[in-house]
Formats: sequence, structure tokens, C-alpha cells
Amino acid sequence: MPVLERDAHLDQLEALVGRASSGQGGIAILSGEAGIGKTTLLRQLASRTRERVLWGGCDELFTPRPLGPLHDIAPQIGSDFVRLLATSDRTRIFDALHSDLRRDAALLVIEDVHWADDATLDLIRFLGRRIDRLSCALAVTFRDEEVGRNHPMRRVTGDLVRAGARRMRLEPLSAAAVEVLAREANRPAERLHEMTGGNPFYVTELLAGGDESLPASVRDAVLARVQRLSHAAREVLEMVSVVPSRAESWLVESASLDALDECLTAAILRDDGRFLSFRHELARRAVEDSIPPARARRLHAAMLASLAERAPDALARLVHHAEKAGDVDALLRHGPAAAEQAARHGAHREAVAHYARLLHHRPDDANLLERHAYECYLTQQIESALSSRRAALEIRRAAGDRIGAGDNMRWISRLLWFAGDGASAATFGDDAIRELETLPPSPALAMAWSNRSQLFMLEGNVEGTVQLGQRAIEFAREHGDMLILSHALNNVGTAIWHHGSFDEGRASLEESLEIALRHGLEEHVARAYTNLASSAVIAREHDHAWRYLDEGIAYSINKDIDSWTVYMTAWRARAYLDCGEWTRATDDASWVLGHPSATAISRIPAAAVLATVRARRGDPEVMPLLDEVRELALRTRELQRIAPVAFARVEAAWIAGRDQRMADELRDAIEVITPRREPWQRGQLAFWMWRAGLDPITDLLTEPYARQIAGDWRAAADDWTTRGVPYETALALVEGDADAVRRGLHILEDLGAKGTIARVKRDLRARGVRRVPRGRRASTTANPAQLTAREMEILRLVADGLRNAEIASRLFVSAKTVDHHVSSVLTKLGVRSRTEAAAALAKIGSFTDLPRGS
Amino acid sequence: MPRYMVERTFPSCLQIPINDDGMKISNTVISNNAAEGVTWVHSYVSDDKKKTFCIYDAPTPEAIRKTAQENGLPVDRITEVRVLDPYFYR
Repeated sequence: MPVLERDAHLDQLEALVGRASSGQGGIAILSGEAGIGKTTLLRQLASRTRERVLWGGCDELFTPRPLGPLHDIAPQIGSDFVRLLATSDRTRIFDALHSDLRRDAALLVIEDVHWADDATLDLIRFLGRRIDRLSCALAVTFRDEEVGRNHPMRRVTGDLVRAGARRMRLEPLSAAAVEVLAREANRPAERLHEMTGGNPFYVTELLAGGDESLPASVRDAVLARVQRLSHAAREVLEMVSVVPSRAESWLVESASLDALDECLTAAILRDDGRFLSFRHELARRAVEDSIPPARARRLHAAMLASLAERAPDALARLVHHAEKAGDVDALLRHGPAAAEQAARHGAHREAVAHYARLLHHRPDDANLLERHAYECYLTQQIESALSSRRAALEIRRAAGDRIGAGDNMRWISRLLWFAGDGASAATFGDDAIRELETLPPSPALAMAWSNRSQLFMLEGNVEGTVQLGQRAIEFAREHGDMLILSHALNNVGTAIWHHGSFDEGRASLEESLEIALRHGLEEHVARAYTNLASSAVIAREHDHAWRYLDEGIAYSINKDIDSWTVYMTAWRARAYLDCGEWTRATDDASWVLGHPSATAISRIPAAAVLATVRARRGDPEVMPLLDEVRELALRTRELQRIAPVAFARVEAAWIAGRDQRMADELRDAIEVITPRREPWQRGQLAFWMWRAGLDPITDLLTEPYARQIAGDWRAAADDWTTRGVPYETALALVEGDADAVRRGLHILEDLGAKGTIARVKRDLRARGVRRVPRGRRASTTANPAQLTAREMEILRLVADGLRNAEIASRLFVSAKTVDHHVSSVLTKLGVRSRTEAAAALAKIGSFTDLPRGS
Repeated sequence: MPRYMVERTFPSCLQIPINDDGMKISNTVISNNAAEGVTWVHSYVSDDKKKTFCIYDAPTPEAIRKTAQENGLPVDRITEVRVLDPYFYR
């Protein structure tokens, strides 16, 4: 039967494969209803290409096989890869596939991704992020109707489309095409299009059926054809139909060859030498659904027996047939191994499903409960994790296993913190320590100390953090437990940094990072980078901050740990804001807010940054954004979430001239910060209390804020300048003499802070400044590349032929900071080299007059 | 999608010739806008052609600023607006 109305798609796909052959890979996402012709189209593409074709598919097991499609593909790559897949962890497997696809061009097909396990979705995302450097055309297919709004597949397609994937939705055939097909089959076309809705599979089934009357559904059409076969052939079909996707030939070796031939001749089954499959999954489902229940159980039991003998490693399939055969013993025998295999490959959703099924039959198995809870924790199903931990705790307690009980209490504490219940988290954390301290020291106890230390750190209790953290550190050093050591050093380092011991705190965090990197503890690496970066941003130590942000974000992207990438990007938005690069700040913040896996702790800082830029620019939509995240922040009861929102709100009120609202907006910040001894938070709070006309808190304030409140605007401005934060510099300068005010306003103009400028000018007039400086004329601010004053200064030095190290020493900043500015300048100018940048400066210079330096 | 009024001041007169060059300018603006999901509805221009009041549909204020930068257009102020019709009460 000819393939109609798919020429445009086929051309695009062929072009994709052509580009892949020359080393520039690409992705096509094919979607459409079942039977619309996705596989047919790809088969046709495969027959036309000269490159090798790697073909894999996901199948409809109760719980999918981890990396199912790779198991199909592995033999096509080679025996080394088959061995690797059976024995290695997934990082090695992904890397091996990656280098293979770099070396030799391929068309890689992954079908039916709506049934994919988590590990396969990760694989697709992994390839998607690197596709432009691979000689690979990746085609994935899925059925629209199987993919609801919250299907995990949605996230993956979003990522792929951002990476440049081409989406192709296959539409039903037109009436004219259906007519052509009918004419070729010598059948009347009447009502055919209307009946089938133009679904090609349905059309072919009807045309192949030869009935005078048209069956009412595609299922009826398939069954009508099956009914015409012999009894023996129908038995073969039923056997094959209970195996999702395709069946190994040996699974049906009991069948007679005549019966098999009959199915093949009728073009209901196809045989590729090793596997038998239905010509279409719709046909398989139709046959499977028509088998009476008792007979179906018997068929599944037979498949289970054959598979257990010939393919004992196909764990997910064994579980599937055991469940369908109602064989609980077999389920309990194969289930735990299937779950572990899924977890090992990172298919954590599938591991949860396996454990949940096992717990249905063995609800009192503490081991199963704990493993279930862990997999739930990894997939963010916090409520389910909690209930399994609670059940496991009771069982351990009843059995007199106190280490097990204490460890479960520590876990409950951690999970309660995730669920946003800080008070109960602390209670359970204390209980865990009390329980475990009655026994000789154990890793469980050390982890309980470190867990409580972390909670103290988040509460801002530095003594508690250090005391318990040190105990955990000592135990971990003595026993060489690197995970606990990395965790505890992180808590202690973060706490003391925020309390002003910059070098000491950073040293602990650096050690935590180094240990985690050396031992491949990915979550701990990401957590160390995050706390190093966020601490440096808060302390306005941007040279350090940029290094940690660059390395940390690159690491998280490379390891595909999205939640950390998103969270660190929110901190990068804050760093850009402070350094005066507001467009980059809003780009990062908007990206975070639009990211499907952004949780509250990432949304809160991103929204605070976005709203702050809007307020300073005089743009709309400030308060609605901040109202939403204030609720989220208050629920966490943590300073690090609440303070940034409160400061954004009070600044917005100040800019808008709603001075009487300022004290109200500050209330949240006053409540969380005054009991704490963190100088940067206290300084910022004191500054805004002063601005709001309240009596500011006075002790333990960082220098620049304290100076400004004391009226020493010059010292404050100098301090802010050396830290490279232009906005704060400007706010100090506008408190000063006429020359300082002019310089301050120029900085605000360069930043595009029209909202802030309006407010500052009102204050200047109120202060009796007679001639409030007017803005520079429009022509001088129409700097087309939107370079900041600092960037213009650096561009001039670049044009003078200075190297970064020379620029750094001239401007008293680090070379890293200069690197950042130079790459920002090149991006904004749209040029690639320093020479081109110098040429661009010549053009800008002719119509702008920005001050040298600030 | 929210609607915004964007006020712009031009240092010299705004000149969009009514010929192929003018069409090219308009088309560049439209395609830059489309990349950010921004729609230029229409504009009012002051008599001296130095100020414009432009109505836009856009997802965020940042999208308006980004397209303005790409199109080389100045931005004085962005205000979110709604339609008020004088015959609303009739």
C-alpha cells in the first residue's frame, strides 16, 4: 500500500539525516494518534538512508523496563555495548552511547515515548542537550492522546524544542487520499473516509478485510480479519498478543509452522528473524483484549515460565507476566530485583511502582517500606515517603531495632522539612539523636547529628550548627565516611560564613566540595556549590560568586540534575542584579519562573529579582508577583526566603512613593532578622528601616550600610564601588554633594533605573536642592548596545590593547570579573573578537558620551 | 496577554519613509517582536514626530524592552493599560 500525504515530512526528515551525516545532529519529534503512520513514515525514511539505523521502542508493561529502548538498540551497536549495558552504571552507558554517536553517523529512532521509563526520558534529554555535536538524527515518536498535561514527557519535549527540535504532528489522510487507496485496492470508497476519520491503519484494515459491510471500529475490523483464520493460527496470535510490543520467536516455538505462516501471509504478524510482532500495536491490543480472563492468565503463566528460563534478566517483563498471571510468589521473587535494577538506572518512578506493588502483598516488610520511601524521596513524592517512613519506624520499634528506628526518625525529620514543616522537623531530628545516643556511636547517629546541624543552620542558630556539625565531622573523619563528612562540613561552613567568618566558612565549604567531587557524590557537589555561591552573593564577594556559579551550573547541567541548575540560576540572577547587569538578571529570573521543575525555593528568589528590576525601571507588574511569592516564602519560615521578598517589597513601596506602606512591608524581615546575628542581613534591614523612618537596629551591621545610615555617604559609596555594585553605589552618592548627586544619577541612568531616578529626584527637591540635575540628553543615553558604564570603561581599555590581567590590575578587580565583563561586552556588541569590539567602539564613540568610570 | 502603552522619545524626528525601505524597517520590527511573543498593535505620534505612544500586546515588560533594544528603539515608560470606552455606561 502506498504512503500518501507524507512527502513534506519525509523531505524534512531526510534533510535532518543529511545534516547529521555531516556532523550536525538534530531532533524530530513525531506525534499523532495511534495508527496515524508514525512508524510507517520512519520505516520509509530508514529504507532511504545510507547511514546505520538504530531502532528502539518503549513498551506497555505495567512498569516499563529501565532503558527499554537501549536494550533493543544495543545489539545493533555491538557486543561491547551489550555487555556495558548489562554491567555498568548509567553514566558510563550514556557516555559510551555519546561517543559512539560522535564517531559514526546514525539515524536513532525511539518509538512510543509516552510509555518511557524515567531513565529513558533522561537519556533523551541527555542526547538532546548534546545533539548539535553528534552525528545523529534522533527521531522520537509519541501518541498525543496518551500524553496528558502532567505527563513527564511534556517536560522532555519542552527541553528538546528549546534545543532546536522540529515538531511534526501527523494529520489524518484527506478524503482524496483515502479514495486513491480504495481505488488501488479495487474497493468502493464510499463512507470510508467518514468511518475511519482518515486514520491510515484503520483504512488499510478495512480495505484488507474484504467485507461488504464496514465494521464499526478499528477493533472490530481487526477481529473480523482474525476470525477468518484457522483455530491454530488464532492461538498463535493470542500467544503473541500477551507480549507487549514484540515477542522473541522462541516464546512461541510450541506453535506449528503452518499456523505461523498463516498469520504472516494474512499480514497480521511480521517476522524479522528474531522477533514476531503485530503489524500494528492497535491490532495486538484488539486481540489481547478479546482473550477471556482465565485463558489470559494461563498464557501469561506460560510466558513467565519461558522467560524465566531463557531470559532471567528481563526483570520488568517477568514482573509484568507474574502480575497478569496472578502469581504472587513469582512477583515477590522477581519484584525486588526489578526495583533495584530500575533504581540503578535512575528510573526512580519505575522503582517506586515496583515497591508499591510489592508492598501491596507484603505491607509489613520494613526493608521494602524504607526502599519505597527512598525512591519516593528521589522523585519528590514527599507525602508517600513520609507515610512509608512512619510505617517502617513502627515496625523497627516493635522489633527492638533501635538503630533502624532512629534512622527512620532522622529521615522523617528531613522529609518534614521538605514538606515545609520546620517545627516538626526539629522535633523528629531531636528524637532521632536521643534514640541513637543511648547506643554506641554509629553512622546513623552521625547522620542524625548532621541532619540536626543542617536544620540549625537553616534556622540561623550558628552555635547549634557548629556543635552538632563538629561531632558529625569527628565521627566521619575517624571512620572515613565521606558522605557524612561532606554533608556536615557544608552545614558548618555555611553557618559560620553567614555570621561573618568569611575565610573560615569558605574553607569548610571548599573542603566539603572537594570531598564530594573526589567521591562523585553528585547531590553533595551541587549543594556545596550552591552554598558557596549563595554565601558569596550575599556577602557581595562577586569574584568568588562568579567562579562558584559558573562551575556549579556547568556541573549540574552536565549531570542533568535540573533542580540544582534551576536553583543556582536563580542565585545567578541575583548576582547579575547586584553587578548591574539587569537584562541578564531578568533573563535568568524569567527562565527560572518558566521552568516546569522550579519549586518554591527557586521561584521565590527569582521573582524577587524580577520584581526588583521592574520596580527600579519603573515597569509595571511588581506587586502581583511579590504577593504570590510572599505567601510561599512565609510558609517556609526561613530567613533566606523571607528576607529577599520583604526587601523587594519595601524597595518597590519606596520607589512608588508609598512611604507609609514601607514599615508594614518590613515587618516580615524585622521578625526573622532581628534575632539573628548575620551582618549582611542586618545591614540591609537597618538601611531600609532607616529609609522607612523607623529606628534602625544598630549592632552587627556590615560596614557600607552602617556608614550610610551614619551619614557618611562618601565612605559608603567607596565601599560599594570596590565591591562592584553600581546601584548601591548610586544610592549612597545621591545622599552627597552636588557633584556626587550628579554622578549617582548618571549611574542610575546607565542602569536604566527610571523608577528609582524619579523617586530620588523627588527627595532631592524635598531636601531643597534647587537645581536637580536633568538627565543627559536622549542622544547620549541612546547607547544602542546598552553597555553599562563599567562595560564602556572596559571596552575602552580593550580597544587600547590591554589584556584582561592588565585591565584587572588597573581597575582593582580580579581577572575573572574582567573576563565576565569582556564576554558581556562582546555579546552585547554581537562581535567575536577584541579587534571587532574596538571597531564597534569607534562607531559608538561617535554619538555617545558616557563617563569614564563610575 | 497583558496590553501595554510604551512611551518613547526620539532625539531626532522619527522617519519611516513610505516606500520599500520603510516596509523593510516595519518588517524587521515585526519579526523581532514575534520572536519574543510581542505584538505591536498601533502607535500615536506627536506632531513634532519626537514622541510616540505605542500600544503593545506582550507577555511581560521585559519582552517589550528586549524587542525595543533589538529594534534600536528608546523606551521612556511602560504602563499596563486596559480599554475604557466613553460609551461604556450607555
